[in-house]
Amino acid sequence: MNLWLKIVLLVLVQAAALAAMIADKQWTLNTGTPAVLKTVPVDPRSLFMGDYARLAYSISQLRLDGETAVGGDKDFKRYDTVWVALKPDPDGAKAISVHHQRSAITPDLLALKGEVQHLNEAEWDRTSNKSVKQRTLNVRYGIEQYYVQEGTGAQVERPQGNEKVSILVAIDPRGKAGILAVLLDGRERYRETMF
Amino acid sequence: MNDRGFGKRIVQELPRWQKEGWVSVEGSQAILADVSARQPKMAWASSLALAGALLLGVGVITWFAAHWNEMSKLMKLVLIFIALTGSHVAYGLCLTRAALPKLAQGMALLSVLFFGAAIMLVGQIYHIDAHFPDGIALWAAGGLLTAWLLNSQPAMVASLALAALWTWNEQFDFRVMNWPLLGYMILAAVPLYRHDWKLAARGWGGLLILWMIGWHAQPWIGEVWASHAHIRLFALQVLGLAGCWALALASEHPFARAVRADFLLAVLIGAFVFTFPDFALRHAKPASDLAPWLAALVGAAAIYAAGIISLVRASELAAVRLRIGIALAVVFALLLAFEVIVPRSSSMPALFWNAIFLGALYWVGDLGIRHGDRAMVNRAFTGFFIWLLARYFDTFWSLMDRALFFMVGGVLLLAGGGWLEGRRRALLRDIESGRQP
Repeated sequence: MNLWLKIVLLVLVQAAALAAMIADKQWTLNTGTPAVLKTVPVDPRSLFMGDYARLAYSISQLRLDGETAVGGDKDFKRYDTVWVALKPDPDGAKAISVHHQRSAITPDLLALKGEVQHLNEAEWDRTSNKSVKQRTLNVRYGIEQYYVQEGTGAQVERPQGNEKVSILVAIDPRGKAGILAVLLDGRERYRETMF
Repeated sequence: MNDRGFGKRIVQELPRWQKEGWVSVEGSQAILADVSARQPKMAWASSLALAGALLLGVGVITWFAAHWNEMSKLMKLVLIFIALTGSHVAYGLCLTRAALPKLAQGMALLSVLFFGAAIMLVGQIYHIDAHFPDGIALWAAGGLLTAWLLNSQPAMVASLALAALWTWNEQFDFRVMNWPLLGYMILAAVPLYRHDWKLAARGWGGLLILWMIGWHAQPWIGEVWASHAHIRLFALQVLGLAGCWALALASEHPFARAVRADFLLAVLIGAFVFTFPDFALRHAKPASDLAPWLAALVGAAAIYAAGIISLVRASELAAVRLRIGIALAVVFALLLAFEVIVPRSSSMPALFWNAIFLGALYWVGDLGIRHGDRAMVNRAFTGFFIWLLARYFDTFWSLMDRALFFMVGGVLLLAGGGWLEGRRRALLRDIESGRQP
């Protein structure tokens, strides 16, 4: 094959790979069902680290036992793929149950795909100052990082007064989620666009 | 001896050979011209081009990082595309217009770096937070395509290094088997088979060994120090690698010549581990279901048998030496099969392993002498010294009450080691002078 033809082929394949990355994400944003997720600051003093935000959600920690436990399966291990049933809510979607299989989620609920990061067997009870048995799943959904422009993230980083940061996501039919917008007290602060 | 060392030696020796009348003046000049033509030239140019590619790559990525916020998404994408395409076009221009093949290789490496930067930057622009090793895998695949289409060994080495990082992440961090790596390795083997890329070929062998080590990090096999399954798996891997080494040794293809050094080293280390009397004794227990292990043993034994048969067919050894070699190979395979099927209940297997290890070292050294391969001779002697020290120390520490006896034994062993070193040097001199020892 001619050298320049090879170079053109290389450029096309590499560009196609990069375009596929973008297309996959845009497909999620365009076809997904919107849902609001409440964030939980990773570090209360500095939500945003460097040029990107580390986000944790109220649905990132799923309790498997106790009064606030979610329904569904109970036997999970690290790096398992999980399906979380979400009930949409303008104030923040609620996790109803967690399963190994998507088929266990009824059609009236949103199915979000995640990966088990940790499985904690106990947690620290601040009132009694003791470690108590509490099985908790730490789940990653692939929406835990959000890159912000330097100097413009300060308002989000340090919300004034009782301002609340939440994230509007789109969940596509494959269970993949993408960030559509960053909300401050329910108002859009950043909106994702194609270009 | 490498080309540079050989050239120096020829230049030093030729005047004497000419004076002795062994070589004519014309012959001497022709030899010098030939040696000069075969010297590796412009090593600095090549190194500078590769270092330049690295610096330029880092510089461009840093510049992007510094001015990133001032650009729109579209501008960022256009810049990424220009950088990526620019490095490819620069490669083409270096080859076709400027006749600068070394610089072209630097550009090929630069294009691999830019592709990685492009993946990360697109991930950042669109907030793509996927399974981290997938990004490395895509980068390694891009590097492989670059190496394949642009005939670039530096790009292939970079791609193999990325594949190693990918499999490390998958198998040791996420603890899942990286089966897709096998597909990558088959594809990578194609350009390596076509080109004489020694460094990349050795990297390929090293990657295969890393992938095999990664099996031991999988949760299904149990904790490393609490499961006899690891010993069974290890024995199977040593058997399979020994077969791969034999297959590579039977072939004269440059790819096979390059990878066999890695395989031999891995097999010798594997055999050495089995020589320890206490190895696996504490966790020895029968397998709950032996059938899968037996099936795997048949598979590994088939590779081993194919390798040994190829080696025997290609061998030019005398009948007696060949029979000794076959006997060693059979005993080696039987000992490994024994480790798979029967858990150790005493240190008796270690006795056989020590004998076979020494026999294998002798055979490797003998083969090295016959092929004039200094690396094989050195490897055999190094293996023997390490074995000697290991046996001396494990015996010494377990029998402290007879310390004096073993100290005298140690002195004797060291004296023996000194004699062996003298013998090794004599053998290497014989190899260099072309005499049959």
